[in-house]
Amino acid sequence: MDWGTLQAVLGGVNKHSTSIGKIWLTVLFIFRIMILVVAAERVWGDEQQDFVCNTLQPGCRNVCYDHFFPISHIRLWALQLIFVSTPALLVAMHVAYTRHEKKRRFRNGEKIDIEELKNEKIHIRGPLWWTYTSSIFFRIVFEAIFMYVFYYMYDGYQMPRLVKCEAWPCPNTVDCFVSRPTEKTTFTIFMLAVSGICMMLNLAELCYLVIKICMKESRKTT
Amino acid sequence: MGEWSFLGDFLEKVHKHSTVVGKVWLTVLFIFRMLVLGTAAESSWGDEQSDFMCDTQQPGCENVCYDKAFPISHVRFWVLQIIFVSTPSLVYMGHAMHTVRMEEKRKMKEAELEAQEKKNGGDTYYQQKCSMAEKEAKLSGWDEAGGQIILRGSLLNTYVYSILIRTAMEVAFIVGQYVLYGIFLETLYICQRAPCPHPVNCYVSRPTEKNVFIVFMLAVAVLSLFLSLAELYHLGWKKAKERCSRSYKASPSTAPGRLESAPQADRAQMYTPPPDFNQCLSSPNGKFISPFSNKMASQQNTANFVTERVHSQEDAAGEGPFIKSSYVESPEVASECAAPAFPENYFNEKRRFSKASRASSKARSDDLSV
Repeated sequence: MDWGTLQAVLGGVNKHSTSIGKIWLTVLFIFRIMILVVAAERVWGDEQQDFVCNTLQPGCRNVCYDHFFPISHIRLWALQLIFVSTPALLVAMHVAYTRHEKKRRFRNGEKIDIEELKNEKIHIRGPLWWTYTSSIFFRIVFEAIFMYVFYYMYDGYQMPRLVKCEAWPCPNTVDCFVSRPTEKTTFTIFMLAVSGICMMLNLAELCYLVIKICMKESRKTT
Repeated sequence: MGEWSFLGDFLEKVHKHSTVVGKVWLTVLFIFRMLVLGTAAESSWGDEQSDFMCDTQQPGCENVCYDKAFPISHVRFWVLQIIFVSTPSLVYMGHAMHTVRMEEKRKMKEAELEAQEKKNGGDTYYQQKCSMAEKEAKLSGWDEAGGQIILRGSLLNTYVYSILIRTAMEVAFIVGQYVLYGIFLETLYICQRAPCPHPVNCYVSRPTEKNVFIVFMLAVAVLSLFLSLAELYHLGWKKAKERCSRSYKASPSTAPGRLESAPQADRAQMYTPPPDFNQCLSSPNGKFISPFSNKMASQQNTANFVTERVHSQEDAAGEGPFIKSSYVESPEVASECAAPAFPENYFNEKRRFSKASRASSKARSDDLSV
């Protein structure tokens, strides 16, 4: 999976983020994407190969694996990371659109401050504030949804060592053994913890933005 | 190694703003840990489960025995170790970038104030610059000329804390590895766990090669630990030196540090009001005599010369290397226009303001050449 593209895109958004947004991005890249690529993919690499069932019935192992792991953790995490990063693209698009508009006005002869145009930093106010805040809101929603999906799909966050399978064509209740359950549990809990931290950071950023705008409004009125 | 580029890019930035020992530590991290892990160790542990053989036909026994023998694989453990050990540096990096941004904002503010001062005129500029520039430049630790961050004040504290946490993490992971696996891997592992019907012999894949890498990674971890401790020692010594020089400067009379925080009112009280015109007319026949008599001027010159000499000596000693103030001290003149008696340690006080400061165009102690 090529995460470099995502890094290139989000790197651009980083310039226009608040400090908390920058911390969130760092946590995302180092503690989630990097861990996923460097460690987790290898832990789950042999999950079907080493999924052993106590049966000689052909096809039983396949069916049991599919029954207990409808979507592998790795794929779910990849989807989670993509969904959680996508709202930031909205901000990037808005910034690009704003800059495009400024350039167009400048080309049409309107008096625009060239220095400001060249200056990369765009402040989060006005319509951009709304875009940015809604992107953070969606981030939080996606994180929460995925955390719930994990919980619902795998009955908690612990990987069982032994699962009992009764799916057809298994002739009776068959014992199946999951590969590396302890290591998988460790990484599941680690990724869950980092998701929680990311969610806290997003909440903090949301509160910070709302409080800032409230203070600005109150200063205007007084 | 491409997979480590996420962390590598961040650590490159840290590399720029570290001490020499810090740079060595980072190089050790990059080459002896990340690179070795990514290239050699991964392939050595590649078949750890597929070639973990147990002397049993019982389905599932091998799985559970492998899981019991290796709750977390060495490679994943080292990945987590590298990440957790690098994290404090990232926190320091964040603080450094924040410092840079604050410094840029301060400069913008200064430029604005300067523009404002040019509009208004007068010496409000000095007072405002005094309070802001002194405080912030002292704390920020930013060297314009070098484009580098200087470790002082709160940034130095963050750096020291980051190294302390790094050291603690390193120790925790080394101890953790010892608790989990001991030092060496045995070839034979005897496993008794359901559904294995009885104690079963299990054989680890490539134990010797794995032991070589385990010992290597352990040695590099210990080396990193020593480097961190050496850096702590070096920084602790530097901080103690800073503190000693500060306490030396804090002579019995007014200390510069205290002076910085003194509010405007206190500063106003410090210098005596200029002498009245009448007081300076010492001639009995009432003829006009210039208020700055030759005697006063020569006294002032002598005092200035001595101060300059003392100041240049101190500069040579390397005190306050990064905030250079070029100033000239004018002594306070008593309202009776008598020759003031200078106490011995007077010339160490760098930041006393003369009563003529309002009109003087000489550089003041609060001017910072950044």
